[in-house]
Amino acid sequence: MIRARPAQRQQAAATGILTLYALLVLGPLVLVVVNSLRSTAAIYARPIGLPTMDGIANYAAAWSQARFSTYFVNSVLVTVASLVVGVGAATLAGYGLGRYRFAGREAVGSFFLAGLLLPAQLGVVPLFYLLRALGLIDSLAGLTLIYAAHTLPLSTFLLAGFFRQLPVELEEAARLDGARELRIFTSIMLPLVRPALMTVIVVQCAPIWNDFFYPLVMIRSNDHFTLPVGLSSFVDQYQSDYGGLFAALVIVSLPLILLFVLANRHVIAGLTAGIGK
Amino acid sequence: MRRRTLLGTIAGAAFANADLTRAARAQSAGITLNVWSWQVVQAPIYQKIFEIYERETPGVRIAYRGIASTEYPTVLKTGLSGPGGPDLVMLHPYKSIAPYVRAGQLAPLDEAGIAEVKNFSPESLAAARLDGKLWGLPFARQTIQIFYSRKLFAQLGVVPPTTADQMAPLLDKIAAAGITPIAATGKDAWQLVNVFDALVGNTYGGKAFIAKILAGTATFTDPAMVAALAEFQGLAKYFPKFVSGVSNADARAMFATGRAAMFPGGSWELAGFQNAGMGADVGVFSMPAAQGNPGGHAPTWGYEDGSLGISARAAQPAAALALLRWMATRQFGQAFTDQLKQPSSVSGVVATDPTLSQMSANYAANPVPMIWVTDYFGLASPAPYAALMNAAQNLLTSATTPAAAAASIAQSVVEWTAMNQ
Amino acid sequence: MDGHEPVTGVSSGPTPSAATRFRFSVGAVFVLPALALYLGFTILPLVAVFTFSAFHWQGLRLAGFDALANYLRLLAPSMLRQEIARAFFNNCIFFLGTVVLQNSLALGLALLLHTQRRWRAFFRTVIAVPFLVNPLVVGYVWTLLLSPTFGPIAAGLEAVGAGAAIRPWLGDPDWVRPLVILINAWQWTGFPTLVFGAALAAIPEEIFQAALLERASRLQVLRAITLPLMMPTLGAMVVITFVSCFNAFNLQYAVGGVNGAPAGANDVLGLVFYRVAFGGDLNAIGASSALATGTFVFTFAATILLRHMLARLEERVT
Repeated sequence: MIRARPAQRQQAAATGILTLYALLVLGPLVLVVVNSLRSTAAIYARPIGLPTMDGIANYAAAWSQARFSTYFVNSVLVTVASLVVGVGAATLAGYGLGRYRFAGREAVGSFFLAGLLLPAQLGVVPLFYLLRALGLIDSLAGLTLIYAAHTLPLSTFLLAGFFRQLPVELEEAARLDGARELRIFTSIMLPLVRPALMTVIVVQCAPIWNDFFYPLVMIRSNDHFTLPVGLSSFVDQYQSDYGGLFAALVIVSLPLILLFVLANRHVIAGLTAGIGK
Repeated sequence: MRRRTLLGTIAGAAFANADLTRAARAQSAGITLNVWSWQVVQAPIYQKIFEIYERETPGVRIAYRGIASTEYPTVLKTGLSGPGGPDLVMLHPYKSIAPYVRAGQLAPLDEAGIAEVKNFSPESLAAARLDGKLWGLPFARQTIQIFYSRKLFAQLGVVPPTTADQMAPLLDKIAAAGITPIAATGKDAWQLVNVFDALVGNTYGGKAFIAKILAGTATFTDPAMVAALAEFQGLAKYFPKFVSGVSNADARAMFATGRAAMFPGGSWELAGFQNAGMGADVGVFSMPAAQGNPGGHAPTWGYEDGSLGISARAAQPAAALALLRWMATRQFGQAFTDQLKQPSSVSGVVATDPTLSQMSANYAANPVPMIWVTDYFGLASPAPYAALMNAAQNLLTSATTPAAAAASIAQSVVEWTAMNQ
Repeated sequence: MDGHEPVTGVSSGPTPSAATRFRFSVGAVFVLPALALYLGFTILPLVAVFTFSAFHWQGLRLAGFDALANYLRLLAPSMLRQEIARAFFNNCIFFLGTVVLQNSLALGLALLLHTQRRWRAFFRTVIAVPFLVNPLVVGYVWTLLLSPTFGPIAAGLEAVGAGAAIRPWLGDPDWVRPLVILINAWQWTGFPTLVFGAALAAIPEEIFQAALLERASRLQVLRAITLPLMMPTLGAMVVITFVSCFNAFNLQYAVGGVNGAPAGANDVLGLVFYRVAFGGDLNAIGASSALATGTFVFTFAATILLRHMLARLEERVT
């Protein structure tokens, strides 16, 4: 990929701005990590301080209260399944909405948008009845279906936009070669939106992983809860155990961050793989 | 093709898992009773207390589940109507049980058939009555008073006031020594309702005024209430600096670490202070009334914290009732009070903790029903509880005046009464 | 180069040809799986909510058909209606502030990242971390950070002798609105940044090379090529920001509590809904469903209008 190098000064300036922003962003998070290793009493005594030995107790408490071993597996299962189903369906739908002009396309697009507007707290009552009718209360499959449906509006919307951006010449060339619709989709269009697809997966991963509300209502037995449920018990009305809260936050967030770091490589790889091929 | 198989596998695994758990439970112990409550942090203590019952009643296992109080109403609403729901539930008091009662989600109690009902006073039982039936048995009576640090008071050479006019000099003396006299929050408005009643409840006329309000012969725009609101605003100078940025957790920490001398709040706070290292240093007193304190007992506000009821869909109603009756005995009440440090509603239970027993004694000698909880509770307008919450908070930031605050509370009563006709 | 709008589809002729009809149905087939899942798990509950709002409730039990009574109660002059009006105003301010700050910042960051050679993966991760962290806790973290008595920022100001500048920031009605916008931007800017980054990456390299050959300046490239080609994504982001701002709840709840303190400056429609739905009212489901339906109708209509305006803007720019 040949690109003329921008002036060194401009490059340095860009890096400088990004570094500044990175510091602003990381500052509070570093504080969270440091404070997660201090006892709550110490945090109240002195807001800024170094980690202490008794701070480790926070992690022990958070680990047991968050039941990391059981809840972690459930969180992973539900998140992966929801993404596969949800983003999979959204990719198909986004392609259909982005590349084909059919009657009512705008309406269908707005239709999908409507789902973003439903507040989770209210939708829980009819969803509860629906899951109960399907016999999916207290099951990870029930959660999966809810989350998959929830990712649809945003993912479809975004992917339709990305698909629409692709040039039409590729499609026409493929058609002239006699390729069928499905071939065009899988061999040509799909690889082109790979970075976008990875991006959508990554941004949709977090809301599913971090959701505590649906498991709280739909799940009954301890073996089926997900990680954030354990976290929510730290935020109870009568208690503000900051040390434990921060430790739990670190535990719950770490897998997502690791996942992001891994996915990042793929996204970059997709970008540098040469889109203009 | 692949996607379908994956989903099918997950669904199958989820179902199988659920079946296994149920089978295992049925095998190990004859019956498992599920108890749901909003007391999350206390879960291990409850589990220990329940072990007493499990030993005395072989074949019964109790599974306690604490649910964060902010989510509790939602979880309970749906939980009482689905599979795997609770057998025993902790219910909020007074009108709060109406949604569950009217939807038929609770089993009414046969008062005549339950001997333990006589372990409770009529006022306590009123918290679980609706539509002429009893829906649960009370468990804790929370009282509102002013906690103070014995150590700080001794250092400053002051004592808790016995008459109303001793309060102002006391506050000034503490402030002059550079210590925050009263640890109050300006952020968590719900707590301000407690602070309000604890500090200026007598100014608006205490029990007599409340009776007149309920009878309709007084309104909240009366001069007594305006005076109370004004006095509350005036006390702000004894609250922490930047009080509108101080959360309740911060206020607790200030009191527990000796940066503040007093903390007006509910009896449930005691455990937290003692566990934070204050131990026996915590003392309590109730604000003396200018109108007089019979027998030296200042009026103490209080209310039933809730009751324990039985789900209409309980799988084992007889076993659930047996557990409920045990939770109404003095044995449970004593364990509850001693280990959870909360005043039990069961009569005859005397707390071993001296501070706790003093709180209950204060209330028993001169009780005042906390009208905001017993009659006016709600978080949304036009509940007067919400109106007072907002009024008190706005007074602290000078976003309103005492007269306007009183008018808003009176207005809320008007709309509230009309709504609940 | 009109690049990106496919010509396939329904032709303007009197009878659609077999080929175009086939492509039309293929398009519909692609949409079908998502539609099915969506109808079942999102539309059905939504319709249920609309239906709920037409009834009077006693807890979870239907207690009578009420038609528009729930709505009339919301519209009648009352303390609740005042709160709804104020909350709506706050949502508008929140949206305007967010879309200006967050989206421009994200665009800027995405452009910077695009030209970045080294450390790109590192920066992208750092920028993304705030929205990976559980939103439930972010509000509490910032509450502690900005606490005038126990917070590090206040402590830091003391340390450098600027103690006079310490205020109860989150408890001051004048400060809390901008602060909430800033905290929200801190948390979510990473999301549009990543999305814009992907949109940028989707622009074929040849286009940039061609512009370079013609010695176009960076600003000219930006104005004439990059921005127009990114319009669909930029527009989509504005719509998403609009929707999420009007559904805002978590941050406002953590910062101001259930009543949107201080003095209702932080009260948003989501909080009003929460109070009505969980405040202990007997008819909570009816009243909150009516409020949710009303909010939905407004947001939906506004979104359609917004998308219309953006589509026209897109056409004009490209």
